[in-house]
Amino acid sequence: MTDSKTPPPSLEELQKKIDQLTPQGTPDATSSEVAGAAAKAMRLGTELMAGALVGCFIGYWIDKSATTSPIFLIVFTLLGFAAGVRNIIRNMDKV
Amino acid sequence: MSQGHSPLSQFEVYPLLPMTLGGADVSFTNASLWMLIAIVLATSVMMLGVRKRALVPGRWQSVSELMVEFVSNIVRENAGKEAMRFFPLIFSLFMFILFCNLAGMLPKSFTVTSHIIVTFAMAACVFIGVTVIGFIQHGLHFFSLFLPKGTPAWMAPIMVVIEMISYLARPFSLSIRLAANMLAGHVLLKILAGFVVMMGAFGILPFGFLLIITGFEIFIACLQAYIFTLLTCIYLHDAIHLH
Repeated sequence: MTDSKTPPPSLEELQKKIDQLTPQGTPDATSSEVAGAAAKAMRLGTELMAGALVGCFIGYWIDKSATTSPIFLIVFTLLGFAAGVRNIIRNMDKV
Repeated sequence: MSQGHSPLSQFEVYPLLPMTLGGADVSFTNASLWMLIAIVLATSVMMLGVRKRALVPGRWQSVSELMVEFVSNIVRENAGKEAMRFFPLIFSLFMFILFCNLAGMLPKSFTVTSHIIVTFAMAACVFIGVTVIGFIQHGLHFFSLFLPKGTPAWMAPIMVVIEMISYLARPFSLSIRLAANMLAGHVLLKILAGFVVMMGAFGILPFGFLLIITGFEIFIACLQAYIFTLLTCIYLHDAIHLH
């Protein structure tokens, strides 16, 4: 640092300078963490709805072909709810 | 201006080049046009980026490298190293959804992903593909996916049915989530824009709100592409590793 004609600083020196200027302490939540949390929240509702919907469809289809309306419609809608809840619990564990 | 303009009219599909093939309507519609635009945009971002192949990346190269890194991290973290075989498929899916969502944010544009048939077609491809991969990898042992370990014997019949329904629900939740989010966001933007016109001088209030919501919608557009990719990877993980 004697005059302006010194050779450009090496990468190590630059890294030192960056480390010095970077504020210390706990880092803020990274953008990927925010996205992860938002992604989690977004998934809950549709997961439950899709389960019930598919259960309802299956029950309706069985009832139509076996003319047992509305036993299977009710049973499979409830099972669909159970499947939706199961999906939510499992995915929350994993991600 | 707002009169006679339904907030849903932006989702209308109309043919630009009417065509029929064997009695079926295969017209080139505005939906086809915007899919094409999304593909051209995605391709040109990637092609422009890697044109120079510089060691120290420029702006465009950084963008394309960042996207590849981002998606490959999702695949590796959620589906395992073995799933990197399917990286080209997952990356194409991500880029297509991302650019369809973002192109939909342009004024006067058409949001392809707000139509459930488009998202359901993609979700069904993922669902069928993942199931086929599972059967190829594990044969009939793949059915063990439907009976979690440690299930009591008396619970087994009901558990199999529940697991089966939850497996079948995957393409529906995947497609409904993407389409509903895009649809709701664009309807909201349209209605708020209608308020700006109707309220005259006080329209500045909904206009400020509209500005915030527009930014939020761009975030949602990226987030939904991320979620679709993430869930594809999780399903792929289930098919490869069986829980």
